[in-house]
Amino acid sequence: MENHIENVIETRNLCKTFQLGDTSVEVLKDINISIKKGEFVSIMGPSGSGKSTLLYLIGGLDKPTSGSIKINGKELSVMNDKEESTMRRQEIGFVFQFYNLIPNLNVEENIMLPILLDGKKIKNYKDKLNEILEIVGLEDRRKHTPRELSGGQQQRVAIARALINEPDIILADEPIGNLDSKTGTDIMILLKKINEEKNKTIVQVTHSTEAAEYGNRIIKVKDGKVWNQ
Amino acid sequence: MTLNMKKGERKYTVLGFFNALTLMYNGQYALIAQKYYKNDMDSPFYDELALKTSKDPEEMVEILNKKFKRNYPYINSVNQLRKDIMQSNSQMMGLLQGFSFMTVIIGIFGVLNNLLISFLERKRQLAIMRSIGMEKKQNTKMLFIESLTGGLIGSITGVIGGIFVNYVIEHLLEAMNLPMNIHLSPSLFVSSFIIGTMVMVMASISPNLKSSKYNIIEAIKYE
Ligand SMILES: Nc1ncnc2c1ncn2[C@@H]1O[C@H](COP(=O)(O)OP(=O)(O)OP(=O)(O)O)[C@@H](O)[C@H]1O
Ligand SMILES: [Mg+2]
Repeated sequence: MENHIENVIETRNLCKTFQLGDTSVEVLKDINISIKKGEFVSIMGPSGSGKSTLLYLIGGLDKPTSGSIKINGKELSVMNDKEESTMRRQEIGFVFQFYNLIPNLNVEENIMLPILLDGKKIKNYKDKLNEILEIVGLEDRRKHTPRELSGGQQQRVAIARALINEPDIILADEPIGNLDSKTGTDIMILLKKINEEKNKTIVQVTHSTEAAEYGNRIIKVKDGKVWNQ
Repeated sequence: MTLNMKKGERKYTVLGFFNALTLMYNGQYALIAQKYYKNDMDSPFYDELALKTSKDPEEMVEILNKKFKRNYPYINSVNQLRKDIMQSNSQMMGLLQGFSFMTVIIGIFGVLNNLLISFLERKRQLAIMRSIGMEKKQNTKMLFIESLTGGLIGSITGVIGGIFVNYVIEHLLEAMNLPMNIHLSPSLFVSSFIIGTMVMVMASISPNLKSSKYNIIEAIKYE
């Protein structure tokens, strides 16, 4: 038997069907993927193939129709809201295509949100915050609100927010989908650095083969199925 | 006391004071004997007459009514007068209370509407927080604390504003020659304070229920 503990992400026969009135759309069909700690995986595939859906399921933002998802060896489907939310705070960091920052909080506050939600004291995380701000290169933008930042800067804030609680896994849905190629390259270099230096497992969804090359494995999704691993 | 009458200054002696009960002319009047009125005002007519009787006033009213039936007089006893005024006052008060009640009802709908709209606007924010690990319980707690502080601040401002406005109105009435003691029971303030806070908290229940049901992804997917 293969070593399951080593897999930080594992899906078995994962299916997702959306019900739209009378018609049901089978978006994911029997997805089996295993991702090991420290991997940098890129999920690729045509638009509408279910990449985002897969990522959201892994992050517990949506419920599968059937099948199982294990994060760090723990089965998602048996978790209650509290356990699931705790997992999202402590074990997973999410980065979205549209950044999804809170507009009326400044950079520091946005980054500290997971700490706050985790019931921890913010003042114990000042050093951590400084370290992360340095990694993403936003030390001089601490008090800015998202609308005072460029897209690339906002995405850095989102990445910083995903890192603050030291999760093992970073899930990124088209993290550079909205950025120009120069800024996109910067973000990809940043992700690669986080992957290598902090040994974080990163799963990104991307349309760009260039971006995929920063990772060390590509998972191709088409018509709701995985075509290679 | 010297009074300036039609015929010039006349000296009068104040015989005494009586409790006018603010029944007529807001209590600002004096009674003089008809003889002096005719003389000093150089006028044979007057239209109101106060009678003091040792009999039962109600009985007297009936007797007088019968006697002057042809002249269609308006005769009233102090008691009846008081009753009439009390009645019209309470009608007036009822109307005012009806108005305040309507205002409160409209206010409640305003609060409900406001909370619902602000919730729709904030749905995305709440979804973002949920996506980075806010529990449903935290979500509910946050909205509850928000509405509670909102309700408290609103109620305190309302009560203080109410006290201030009443103070102003009292002085306005005095300036309008309508001296009136506005008495407000402390229990009224306490109950409006409690009701105000409760309305706000209850109004937050619906957004709260909604927020435990929304789909995180649908709320955050689109820019
Ligand atoms: N809430 C939903 N209700 C119904 N259908 C949905 C819902 N969310 C997604 N879908 C459908 O699921 C399919 C996959 O959507 P998904 O967003 O996962 O695609 P994607 O691979 O991320 O595409 P893209 O590259 O354009 O982002 C689409 O056909 C979409 O219409
Ligand atoms: Mg997508």
